[in-house]
Amino acid sequence: AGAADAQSILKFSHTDNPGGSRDQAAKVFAEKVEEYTEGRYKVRIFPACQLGNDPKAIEQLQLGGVDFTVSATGSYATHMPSLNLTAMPFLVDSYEQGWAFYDSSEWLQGEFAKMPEKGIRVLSTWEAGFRSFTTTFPLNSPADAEGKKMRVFPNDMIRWTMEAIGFQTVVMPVTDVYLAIQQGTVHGQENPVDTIVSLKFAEVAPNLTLTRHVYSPLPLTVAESTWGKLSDTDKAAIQKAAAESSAFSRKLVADLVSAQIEQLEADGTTIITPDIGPFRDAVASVYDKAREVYGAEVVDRVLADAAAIRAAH
Amino acid sequence: MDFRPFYPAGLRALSSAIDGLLALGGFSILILAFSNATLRGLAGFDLAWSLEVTAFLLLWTTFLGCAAAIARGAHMRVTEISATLLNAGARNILEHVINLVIALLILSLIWHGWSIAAHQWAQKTTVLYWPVGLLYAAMPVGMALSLIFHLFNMWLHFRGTDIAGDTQA
Amino acid sequence: MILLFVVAVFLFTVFIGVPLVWAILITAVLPIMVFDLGYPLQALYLNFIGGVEPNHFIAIPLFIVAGELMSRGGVGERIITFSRALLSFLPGGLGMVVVGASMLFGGISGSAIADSAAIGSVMIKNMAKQGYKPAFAAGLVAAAGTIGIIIPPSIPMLIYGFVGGVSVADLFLAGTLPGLLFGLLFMGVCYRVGKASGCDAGGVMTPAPDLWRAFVGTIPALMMPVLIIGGIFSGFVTPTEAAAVAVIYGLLVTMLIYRDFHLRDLPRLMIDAFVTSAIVMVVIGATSVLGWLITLEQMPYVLVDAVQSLSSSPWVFLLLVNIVMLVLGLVLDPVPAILLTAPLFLPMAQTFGVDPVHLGVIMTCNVAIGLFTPPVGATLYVASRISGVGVLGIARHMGLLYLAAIFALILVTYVPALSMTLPRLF
Ligand code: NA
Ligand code: NA
Repeated sequence: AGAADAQSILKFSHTDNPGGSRDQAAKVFAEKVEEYTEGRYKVRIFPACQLGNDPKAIEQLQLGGVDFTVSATGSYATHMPSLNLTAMPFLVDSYEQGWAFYDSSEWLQGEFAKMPEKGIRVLSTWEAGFRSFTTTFPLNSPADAEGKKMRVFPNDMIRWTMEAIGFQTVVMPVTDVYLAIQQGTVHGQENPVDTIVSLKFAEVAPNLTLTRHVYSPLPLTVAESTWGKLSDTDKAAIQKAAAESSAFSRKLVADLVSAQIEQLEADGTTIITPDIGPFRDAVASVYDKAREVYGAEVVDRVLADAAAIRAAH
Repeated sequence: MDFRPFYPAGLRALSSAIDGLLALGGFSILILAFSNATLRGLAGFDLAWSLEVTAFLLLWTTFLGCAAAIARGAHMRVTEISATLLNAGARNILEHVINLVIALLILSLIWHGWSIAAHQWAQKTTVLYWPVGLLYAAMPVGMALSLIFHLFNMWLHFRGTDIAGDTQA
Repeated sequence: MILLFVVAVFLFTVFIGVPLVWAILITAVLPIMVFDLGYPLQALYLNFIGGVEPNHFIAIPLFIVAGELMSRGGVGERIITFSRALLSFLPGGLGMVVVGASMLFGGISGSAIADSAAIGSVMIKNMAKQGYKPAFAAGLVAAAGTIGIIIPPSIPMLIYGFVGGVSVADLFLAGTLPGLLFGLLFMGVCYRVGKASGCDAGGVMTPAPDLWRAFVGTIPALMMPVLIIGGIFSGFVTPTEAAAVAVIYGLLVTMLIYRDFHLRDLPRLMIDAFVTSAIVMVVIGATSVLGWLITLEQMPYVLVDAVQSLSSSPWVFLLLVNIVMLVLGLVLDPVPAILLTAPLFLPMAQTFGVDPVHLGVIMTCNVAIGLFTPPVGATLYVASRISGVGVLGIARHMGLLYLAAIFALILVTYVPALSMTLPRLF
């Protein structure tokens, strides 16, 4: 590969398995970029953490090693702490509300607009669904959480939420979780259904409780250094490809999740659809904690944006 | 091939200081991992920050350990082949060339490592909100210390100091 | 073209005596400059940091410390006395102790490096004392330690399961018999070496009272693996924390029961262990720098294209999988090797009717062998550091072990029942 080649090939890193929903959307994005830029740019996809896990891929965006990545909003929050507020529990209840929140919340659009200063530009948002629990015991209400250990990824908002529900939390990298559940180090984990299926957590924790406590989509981002080198025509082409891949991803995952839940049930997983009320009541303290850390004004603004969207959709 | 006995007092003090940090880091990792396991097992209580602190300690002990290994001449290498194929004079010249190339490589690691740490200074860890650059600075700092020892080792070799015990690999 | 250049630069720098960590980094940097690939060095070097960051690596220095503590006079003597008493009737008995202990550790840790560090720091010295060549003792530790990633739990299998969408539980079950097979064959090598060299010829029966006395004296030391296994399987500790528990327990035993260790010696022990593990870890970090370049330039595809154009039956396909994996295993560690190839081999396996679980076991056995083949092999490095014998010096004395490993690999590859019986039963 000579210099000319290297310039026209853009590197897309993601952590989903080949054939997974993110990988499918990445292929759609790659096709559209090539089509709309009339072949001036090709996107080469590197799946399955080949070029690094989520935090490393984002750092690579800043250092010029990777051109595109797609990752949960929380992964970007180490660079932009306010994004943690999107992980406040029960902000939205349906996909439509979640899409509206990510596409039209003035607060969130404002935060995304500040990210190019950090070397990262958000192009669109892909779907990953809502976070729910898989546990080794039946989790019907917060009362069942008492004395049980819940794995959390390193994120304050999620940890506060789990503690408010009544779990003891154990921070652990995702690669250790399967073994830790199998060996009893923790009694469960929480993730979107798509992730639960691809990482096989139901094999060791066969109770799926559909709390849908956090809406957790995946902003698609481009390195600001790469973006700066593109012509206006190519920027528009890539923006268009990003929007279309987002629509594809949202439809794909929304359609997929119900089929995935049916399949889990057929494979012997107990599906629990709990009364959300007690969970909602249990996590009320999380909003206060967020006010303490991030300031009351911004937290109330996010809550108000979310409430307006819940009312409208 | 321990170089430390040939070092002047200042360099030996630096080497001892690094050893001290390694021992301290090692104890901290040990105590942290042990108390986290004990607390969780007995009191049902997990230290949320322990993963972050151990990651910090692991990076720093690794790259400081890299410098300590250079002072000890302990990095793994294959010397059997050049020893069989080349005579003493040619091996000597080859050693100078290799040392020079390594010095350049370490310089490039310091330069770009510093840029990595600077780029990631604004990024904060998820529990303690430490700058991620503070973790990543372990690489350029460890490499800078490595370079100090490496340059002095080069000088010793250039002067023809007889360093006994040709250990290999 | 770039692939050939990379291989040439790597072999050249290693063979003229550039220390491995720098040789691997030079191999990654040079092609970027020569072929003007346009990758920023800061992005490349981020992988040097990322490669040593994973938390489970903490088990390496801690198991080295625990092993060092347990290899002090009292414990080491008693373990060797008991093992000899137990196995002295068998030729190669002491070598078999290494294999058995590796399988035991392998059953709890999932990391071959930690296994080799833990077993090697106790057993290499003792085997040398018995009259084994230190190079063979180190080679045996390097080879036996890798059984840890074939017998469950196994980190490379976890990663294969995640990448390939294959059941991890099935993979773990499938690895059990192949792991035992590798262990048995390595024990066979010990039998042969012990008998042929005469240093461990067997034939001595130990009177029962002596055996009992030896056993009682060893109980505090034997409790260590019991504590580790118990701790992990009861869910009290993660494997990394188990290493810390082992150190604390080792301190208590050596200070209070055997009384041959003083707290003032601990800093020196700590420093030595962390320098040793740093030497291994920077090489692992450098490997992930090179792995990043290899991935970006899609070099594995060249190999896979070759496989696809040659193969016409599942037998030939599996043969080529083994060749590709063994070649990659020469220079890559298990995790990057699996990450690079699993997505490519899995769809091909389906077209040839090979079960993905079976393929996962075959690939794991291959990367396990890669851990003890020069020039790059993590357990080989660990054993080399502990024994003070060079990597090539060790490899020269491993002929029989390589033969046993290849034989086991052939059986695992062409007798699917070895892997598939247990997952089909449960
Ligand atoms: Na294992
Ligand atoms: Na190898």
